[in-house]
Amino acid sequence: MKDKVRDWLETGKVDLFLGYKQVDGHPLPHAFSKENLAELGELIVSPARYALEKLATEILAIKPALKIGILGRDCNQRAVNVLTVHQQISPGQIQILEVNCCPSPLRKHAACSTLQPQTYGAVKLELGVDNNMSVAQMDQFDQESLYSRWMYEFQKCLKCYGCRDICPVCFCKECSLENNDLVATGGLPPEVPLFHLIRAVHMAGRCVDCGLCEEACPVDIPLRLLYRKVNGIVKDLFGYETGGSHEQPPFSLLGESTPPEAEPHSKAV
Amino acid sequence: MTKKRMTFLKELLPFIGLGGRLRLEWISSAEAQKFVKVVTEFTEQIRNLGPNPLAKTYGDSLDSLDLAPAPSEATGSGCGCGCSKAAAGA
Amino acid sequence: MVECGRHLNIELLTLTELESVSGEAGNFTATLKQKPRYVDMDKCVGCGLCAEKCPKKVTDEYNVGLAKRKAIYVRYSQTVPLKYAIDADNCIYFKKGTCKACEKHCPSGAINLEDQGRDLTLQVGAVVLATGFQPFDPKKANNLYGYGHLPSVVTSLEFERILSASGPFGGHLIRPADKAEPKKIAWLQCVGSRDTKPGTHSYCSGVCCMYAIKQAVIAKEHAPDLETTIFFMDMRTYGKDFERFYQNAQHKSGVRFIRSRVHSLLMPDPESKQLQISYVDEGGELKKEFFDLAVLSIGLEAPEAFRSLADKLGVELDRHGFADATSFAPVATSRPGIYVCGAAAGPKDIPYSVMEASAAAGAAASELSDQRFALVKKKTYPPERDVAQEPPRIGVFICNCGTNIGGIIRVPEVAEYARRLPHVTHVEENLYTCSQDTQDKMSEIIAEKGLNRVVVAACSPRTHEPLFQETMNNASLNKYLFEMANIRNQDSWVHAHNPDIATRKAKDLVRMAVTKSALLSPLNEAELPVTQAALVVGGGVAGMTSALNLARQGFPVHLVEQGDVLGGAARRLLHTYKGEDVGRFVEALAQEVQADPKVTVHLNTSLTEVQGFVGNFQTQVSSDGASQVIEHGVAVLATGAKEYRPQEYLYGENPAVVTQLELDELLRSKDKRLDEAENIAFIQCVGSRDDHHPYCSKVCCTHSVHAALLLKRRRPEAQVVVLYRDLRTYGPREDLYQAAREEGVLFARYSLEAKPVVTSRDGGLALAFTDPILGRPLSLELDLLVLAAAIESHQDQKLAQMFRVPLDGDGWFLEAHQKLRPVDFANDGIFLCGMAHYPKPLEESIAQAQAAAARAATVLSKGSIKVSGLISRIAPELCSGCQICVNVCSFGAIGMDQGQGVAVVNEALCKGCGACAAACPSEAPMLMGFNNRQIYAQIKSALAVG
Repeated sequence: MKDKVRDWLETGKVDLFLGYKQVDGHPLPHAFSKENLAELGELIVSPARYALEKLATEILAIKPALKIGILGRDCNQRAVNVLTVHQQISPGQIQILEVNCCPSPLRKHAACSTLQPQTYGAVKLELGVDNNMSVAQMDQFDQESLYSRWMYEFQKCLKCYGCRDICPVCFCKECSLENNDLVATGGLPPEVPLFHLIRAVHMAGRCVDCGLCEEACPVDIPLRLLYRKVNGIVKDLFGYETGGSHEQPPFSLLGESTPPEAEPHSKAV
Repeated sequence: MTKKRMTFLKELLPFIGLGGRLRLEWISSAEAQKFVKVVTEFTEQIRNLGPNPLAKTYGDSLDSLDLAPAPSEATGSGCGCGCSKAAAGA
Repeated sequence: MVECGRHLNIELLTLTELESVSGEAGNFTATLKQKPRYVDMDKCVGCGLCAEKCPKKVTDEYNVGLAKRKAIYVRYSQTVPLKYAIDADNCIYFKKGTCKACEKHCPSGAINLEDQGRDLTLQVGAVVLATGFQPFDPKKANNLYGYGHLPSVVTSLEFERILSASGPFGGHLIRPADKAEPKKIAWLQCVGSRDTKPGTHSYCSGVCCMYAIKQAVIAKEHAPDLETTIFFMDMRTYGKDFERFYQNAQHKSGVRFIRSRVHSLLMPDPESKQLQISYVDEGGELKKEFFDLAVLSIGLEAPEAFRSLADKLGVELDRHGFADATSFAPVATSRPGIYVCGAAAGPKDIPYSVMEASAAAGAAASELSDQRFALVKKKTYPPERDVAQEPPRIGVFICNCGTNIGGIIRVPEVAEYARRLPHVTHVEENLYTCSQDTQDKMSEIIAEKGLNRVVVAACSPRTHEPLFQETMNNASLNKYLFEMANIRNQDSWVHAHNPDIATRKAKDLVRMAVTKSALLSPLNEAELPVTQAALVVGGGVAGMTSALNLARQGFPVHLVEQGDVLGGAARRLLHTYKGEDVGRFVEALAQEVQADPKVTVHLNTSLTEVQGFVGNFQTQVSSDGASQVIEHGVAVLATGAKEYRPQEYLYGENPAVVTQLELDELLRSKDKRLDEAENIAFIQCVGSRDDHHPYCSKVCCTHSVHAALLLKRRRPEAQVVVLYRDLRTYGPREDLYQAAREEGVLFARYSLEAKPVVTSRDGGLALAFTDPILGRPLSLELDLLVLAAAIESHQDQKLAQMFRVPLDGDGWFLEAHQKLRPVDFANDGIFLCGMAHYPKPLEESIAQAQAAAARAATVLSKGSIKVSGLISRIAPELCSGCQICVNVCSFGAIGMDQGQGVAVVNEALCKGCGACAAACPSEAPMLMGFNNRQIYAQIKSALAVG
């Protein structure tokens, strides 16, 4: 891996490579460059994850001419696709050096955060939503129970914005979650369930299921489950696989069908 | 586009326990009968679902509305006839 | 209508008849006679109190006798102008000298029983006759089908009123005679049309097939269990999307179609009022069936008074009493300077009437272009006051609308409530907020109280917003500082039975409007210059006609033609259905176009790129590798269509099989084969009305019938057979069909399931088909087989994308509105005409081309265009450049500022639909006048209090 990065930097395939370096016992994101090739020895792979593509996008916004390589897993690749679809980066600006989804070579494409399922306390299991549940498992609850369970989860929210700030595909300059007309400011918890529903709706056709939001959440709200449902709907209704390609998501396209030029405008226009 | 967004939302709301409170219909100004039928049906449906669990949450936040009407009037929440409550639910 | 009534430069002269026109084109003197209305139009506010109090009931013509009106009345509730009139023939005062109930009760003193008629003399340059038709009256044709005697027989017009929600039965589907709900309804087609009985007409009325299907479908929507049956001879669904509608009615709605002309109706049991319909089915068997109601699909005829008007004007009529016009000048009457449009020139439907109306305006405008704007009035307003630094000072005007609102909603209570709302400075109640004196008063109050926002709680902004906005302008306020609450249509009318709820809802609506109005800001209507030149794409008859008309109106025109010669598909046509020589006409037209100094003809040229928007297009064209940019303000797309190359019936394999256009060529060159052919057959619908092209190609039936007749006349001993599915010689073309049958052309029907079979035999041809009446197979040796090949669109996706205009599923260009805007595209400044829109005969292409020119001239004649203030603006500081708005904009109005990486709205293209504002996750686009803040505030306000 280190050789490959060295090769990328030396041949100019990338100008900058974002990976991880152990700092005071913590794996932290670090930019490696041609000028400091010696540092490459410190490049590590660990279970720690950051939205490196988000950092790369921010760098590119300032220096669009750069080519950046990142250490990435499947979710990073999906995020890069989504960022390309939404015109935040151009194709080819970010190169991914693929690593396995977890440090174990045996489970290459595992859903990473399920590797070590967390166990939850009795209260959460009784009143809230178990983060380990699948979308299908949620169907066992009736409407009333679903409502109260979700409200229980949403009401824990501290409005730290961690979910948004860590999210690799949250790039908006102005965030609806801070729009006083939509969500009243200056109160805790933030308007329930509006705050989370707004974010959920904005995740439609965007969420790459990296799970960083849930990892970042200090109160264990099952955000990943919520967004999985959201993107499950997008896939079921419109056949759109978020992050799977450079195709526009259904909500960015006019008409009922997804492909842009498949048929002439219908009469309903 | 509206159809896409609403179909999406119609799938999402039941997931958090707010199903049955959204409906999308196209009704032209010439379709009075259809309008009456749809509104009557939907009002009935909403009534059967019981009060909107969100109404209170929503009403509370109105105190911060700088354009709220004169304080003497800002007492109740929801008009009681079902119309605006239904709107909040949807 | 409302727009017409409000237009500054349209003077409505109601109750007026044209007496005479003297002088000549460009300089006519018209004398008119106006009958007294007995109501002062300036004072009448249309409240309807007079009609409520009028004691005299009169049969209501509008509801075709199914209801009553009063002696003082408006024809129907949307009448323009909405001013009452006294029907002196029925008024008690005019008959007996007493009553005057209307005068007593009129709140505005508008009744003037002394009103005298007046004679008017007008100086005009052109006259347009748009006098319409009168519905055929079966009573006048010896009570056709027992109409007038049998209570269960109604005309289609009566049925239309029965179905109407505003009709005499409130849209409840009942039989008028006994108010019973019918379970089975029969429609009888061709009543008074395609007939030879005394008092009927030989022509086809052209619209009844479609309206009967529409009525049957709607009737089934009213009562899903209803059985509907349409008895017809030929189903003539020849217009754009008509065939699809017919197929859907049959296969989706379950309307039953029986091909048979019903001979007569009987009512054996007066108790049940059921009708016995006897008919002969397609197999020749006599059948009897009972129905609860029969609807007579009555035709269109020239109004009785039209003949005397035509006589007075010296305008010639055709044999059916409609204004006579040639195919090459379809809206010109026989007298120069007098034009005709709509059903006055023959039966026709709404889209074609609207098209002709624009065509007549275009034809007249091309003659009068040197006098353009000579008599035009313009409005001026005082400069706008700058209200940016002022806190909101809202004035609320609550309308009683006579008793329409005030009779239900407790208006004083709503007014009292409004006074306590934030920022409200002034509240008043009006009897009629829309009356002229209230407008004057409103201006004064705005000045006096320093109001900077106005809310009117009354009726619909659709009809009244422009009026109030004008008052805003007169009072030095920006017109976008105005807001309406509809407490009539959406409140007092809906909750008429419950004043408490209505009053509470009125408060809600007023509160919402006030909340929003506080957030309103003045909007600017940008003015953009117009390049006063036109681009016409396509050098066929439609394109040339359009180009010539625009040139005559004084505008430079670029006519771009892909081929090396002007004339298009019409070059291959022999003659029109009226027998006029098409070749000579096209030649003359092409010469005229080429000789016109204002028309630049670009042959062998195609479009490569289109940029810009209404008033300011830049189009790149290329010719033999050389390209140039044409600047123009409007574009007319007239790219035509093409004849389908049949894959069936041995076309291309056997030389005796030709298409219609090829037959025209044989006729033109007087080919010897025609002199020798003993047996000639035509097959209709080759590639039309099937899976290949689901639509009807409209012109082929007439073409074949006409050609068959010519061939028969050339050699009466030859056998000429036409195989058809439905013979669609609509309108006066029916006369050709009649003549063909009389002169011995044979007609045989075939069905889609049992198409004729053509085989080669010893170098010759054999045709086999099943005779529907005899039910047995027949075979014919043929010398010539003519295929009525479909007309296909060019499927010109490239052109459509360049101009950002839509194509429909069949590849035809899709107009903005099929009925009301038949030559416009939804995108401003782009128009269409000719066969690019849909197959059509030459005279319809010409009318449509003139119409497109007229519509285009409405843009070109202005030096600049004003853009509505209600458009989207994108805040660059909020935009992340994700381009979702660019993708969802139907009008291509959003582009990217590459430097800043943010989206920018083109004001001229933006229609203010708000799609971008809804799509943006950051709320960067702001729809001016309906911005998110205003809407959220309104929603919150709606939920705030009860």
